[in-house]
Amino acid sequence: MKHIAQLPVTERVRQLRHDYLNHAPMAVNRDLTCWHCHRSKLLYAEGWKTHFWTAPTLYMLRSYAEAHLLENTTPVILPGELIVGQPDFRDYTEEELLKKGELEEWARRIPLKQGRDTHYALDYTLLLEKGIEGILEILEEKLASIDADDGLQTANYEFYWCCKHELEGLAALSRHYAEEARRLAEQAQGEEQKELLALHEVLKQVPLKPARTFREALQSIHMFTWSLYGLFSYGKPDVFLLPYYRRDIEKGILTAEQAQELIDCFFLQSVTHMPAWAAEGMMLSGRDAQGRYVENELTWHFLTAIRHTRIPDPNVGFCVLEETSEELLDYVSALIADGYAQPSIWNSDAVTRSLLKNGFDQEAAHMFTLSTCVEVTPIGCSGVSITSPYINTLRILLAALDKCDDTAAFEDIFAAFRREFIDYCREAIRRENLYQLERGRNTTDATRCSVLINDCLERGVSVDGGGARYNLIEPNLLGMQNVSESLNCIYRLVFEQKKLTLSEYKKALSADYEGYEELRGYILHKIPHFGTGDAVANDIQKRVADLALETFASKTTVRGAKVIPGAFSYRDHVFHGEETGASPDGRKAGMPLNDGSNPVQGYDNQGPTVSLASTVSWEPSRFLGGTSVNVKINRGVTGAAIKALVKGYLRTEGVQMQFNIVSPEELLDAQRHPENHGDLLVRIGGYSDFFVKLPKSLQDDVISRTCNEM
Amino acid sequence: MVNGTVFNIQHFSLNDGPGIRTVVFLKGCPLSCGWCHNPEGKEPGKQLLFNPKACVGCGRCAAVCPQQAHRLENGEHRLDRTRCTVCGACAAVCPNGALEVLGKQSSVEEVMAEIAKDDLFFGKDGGVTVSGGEPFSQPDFVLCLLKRCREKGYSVCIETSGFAKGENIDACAPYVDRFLFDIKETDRQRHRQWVGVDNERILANLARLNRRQATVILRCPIIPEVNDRLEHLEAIAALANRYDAVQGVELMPYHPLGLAKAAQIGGQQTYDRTTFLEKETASDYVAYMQKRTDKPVSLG
Repeated sequence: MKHIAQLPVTERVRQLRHDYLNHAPMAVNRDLTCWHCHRSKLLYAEGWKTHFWTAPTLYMLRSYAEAHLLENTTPVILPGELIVGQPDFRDYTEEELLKKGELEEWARRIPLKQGRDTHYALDYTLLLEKGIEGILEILEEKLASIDADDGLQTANYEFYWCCKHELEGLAALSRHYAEEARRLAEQAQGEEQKELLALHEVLKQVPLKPARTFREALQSIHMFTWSLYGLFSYGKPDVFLLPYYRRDIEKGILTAEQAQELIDCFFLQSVTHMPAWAAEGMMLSGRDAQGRYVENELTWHFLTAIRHTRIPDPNVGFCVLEETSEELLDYVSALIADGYAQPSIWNSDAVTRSLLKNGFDQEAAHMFTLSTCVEVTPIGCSGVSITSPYINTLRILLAALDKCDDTAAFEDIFAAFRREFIDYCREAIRRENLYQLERGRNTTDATRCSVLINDCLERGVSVDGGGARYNLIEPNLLGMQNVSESLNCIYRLVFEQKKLTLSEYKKALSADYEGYEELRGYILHKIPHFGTGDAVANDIQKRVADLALETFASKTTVRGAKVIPGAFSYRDHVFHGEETGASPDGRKAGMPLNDGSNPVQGYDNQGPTVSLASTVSWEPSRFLGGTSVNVKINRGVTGAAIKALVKGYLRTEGVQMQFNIVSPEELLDAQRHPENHGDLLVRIGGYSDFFVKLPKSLQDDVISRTCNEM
Repeated sequence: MVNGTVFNIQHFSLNDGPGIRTVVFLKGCPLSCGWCHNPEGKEPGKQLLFNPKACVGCGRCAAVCPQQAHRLENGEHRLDRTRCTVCGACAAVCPNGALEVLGKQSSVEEVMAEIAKDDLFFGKDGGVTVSGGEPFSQPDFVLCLLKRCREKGYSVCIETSGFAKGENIDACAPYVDRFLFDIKETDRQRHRQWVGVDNERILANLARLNRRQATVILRCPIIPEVNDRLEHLEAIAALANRYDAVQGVELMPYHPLGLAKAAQIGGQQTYDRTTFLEKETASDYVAYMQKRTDKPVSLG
């Protein structure tokens, strides 16, 4: 299927990419941190205001507001677009400006949503096969089947009513898009007019009615998803879109080139509605619901879209198996080696084993996806509350150390941490459960997404109310490696080498190592760290990981479901680091916590193989809440080397791995702060070395050459 | 069990043989190439490395040195190597890793434990490369190491200057999957001048490996104004053509990294060019040589 990899970028895709990146507000202003930052927020507030006194429940009031937003959203169709649907960021009209002040006041009074937003992975089958009109018929039947005299069914009535009301709003939005395409077509001429008329035909059909073609399928899922204004995962498009693709190719109404262009356009639209901090997710390859290996034309097409679009979204994961073909793995490895930073690599069967152990059935255990970052989410059947909450484990350790004095043995210190951790997590999960309770009662996300999550529709319960087949809370542990590294350093310095007492150590921490530079230097350079394959350090990290799993294993959610932690970081290791004091691992106050599930930055100074071997030693697959393992290798690494790393990883209980391509900025920072970049590898001619170990002049040389290559 | 003197074990090497490899660098080399890129591999015994960039002038080394080899002058660190016995007391207390003793005495099992950290990732191509220095300057240790690697099923490359006793090569060859065999200079007179020894034995050993039907890659440093002559390239191509054992040629463009390393161990290089050989020039040489042999020629 190499011919797919070689498909060229079309002029349309090149132009759209340029236009979006230079003009789409979400792309241009990466500080826009909220979808509801503009017109959509006011429209929602207007719906809220209109129905505030009449809506019987808060749930229904939210659906009224959602529907009002959808019905009144102005369609945006830009020149050259094949897949349409994006927020309307144009300046306010005079009429809008008149009511802006009042509506902003209303918006401020809308109760905040508690708990983590969205991050659901939808099952689009129903949408593609029935269309919104078909789903509305189902909802009518459900509503008709409810016995109005039976008060016990009121909550189900409310759920169906909300879905119906919101989907009617979405139907209106779809019709407005279709009309807009026709209006533009009437003004256009020639080729442009033909294109717009074709677009009009597509929009007349989807998402209102069943998708008949591959293009309609893409348009349908895009329209449904973007208008949810949230973070969603598309699941495995190379599974559920394949019948549409194959049918069109067989009929001769679609070529590989056209399919690629459509997928490229579909990818690019994410730039128009995804803020910098958010993402849409999808997973490729791996296994289908029956456990069969997935590799087909669409796997190749979607991977090729990464190369064609070169944007951070959607966040694409790639599931690797023993069966993965050499050809496909070569392609993926080359993409990574070429510096696209996508896709992330997933050890599919390790995740499946872990899901099975945790009570998921075979189908769910095979068909999982990242829920936009790295959290494990079975597709279309789970209500997973991710990163709920972020838990700064290093602060917990520091609090525990406060309670220890010089009489404490190492095991006493560990026991103090254990107590502190268990107490903290008990309260943290109680709070999450209260949030869940609140979400279930009245502060939900868009209710309509529940129709695509099994078994909400059957049960008549929204995903926020616990209607999904599987429910999970996934708290996320930050700084776990700082904790184990700190314990490692305490073990070595206080107990093994007896270089100082615990109280002297704590004094150094209070002083933020000011006046203790030698101690800090000793920690950085002389202690065998986690990440160097050291047995003691590995053992301590494993104990910390085991403690985390045990702590949550005894808990249940408000729905009676499991609590399974994750151990990754997205950006939060920076924020949480800022409010965390100096730690025994040599980290100064305010510095970031460790940047994922890998060892502390700079401490894994023996290269990626040794670092990865350390990382997998604590069996990250048990952390379904998500793990992210950053592998930093410099530009110039071959696809073959990436492939060898991936294949080695496959034989472990590691889950996710992502490759960072070194940038000149990072190299410059490494010059200024070498202590943070001990693991940075660079290649000089036929030779590799650690960047920070090179003399300044050669570092400059490497920097200039790295710039040239970009 | 014999111990080896090891000055580095590099994990995740991508440039010394196929795939992902662990490279074990052994100390001691009978040659004295002016451009040596691992000058710390030359001396057979342990050596003290001092990296002034990492030194913060704390003076801990001076406090513990039994020979008074370390001094602080106005906060500047001074090292008198004539006094140093490489006892390692200073390196043990240096808080910033500016001082380091190179040439650890390691057992085969200690080295195998380091290799084991990587072996998940060797796959079918990768494995272990024994390099130096000149590995055959520690023949007993190398043989033990090779046998253990064979037991573990690791693929093994040996990077050698070829300047070794034939019997040692014969003893090790059955356990070696690939020889990375250096040809530094094909002109006998120049070889003596720049490498310090005659190349007769090296060429004889290449013929020996050919008779043994070993797998050999020729690795040829290209040193500006020393051996960047077309007739040298032609002579290498002729060697590649003459011997069936030779599977390919890698040209290794000069880089000046050895200069800094030499300074850190108190030595200096007789060849002191501070700039890289340009990539374009090196590529031209590859093309030139490729016209003269069917064996693949590449940049190493």
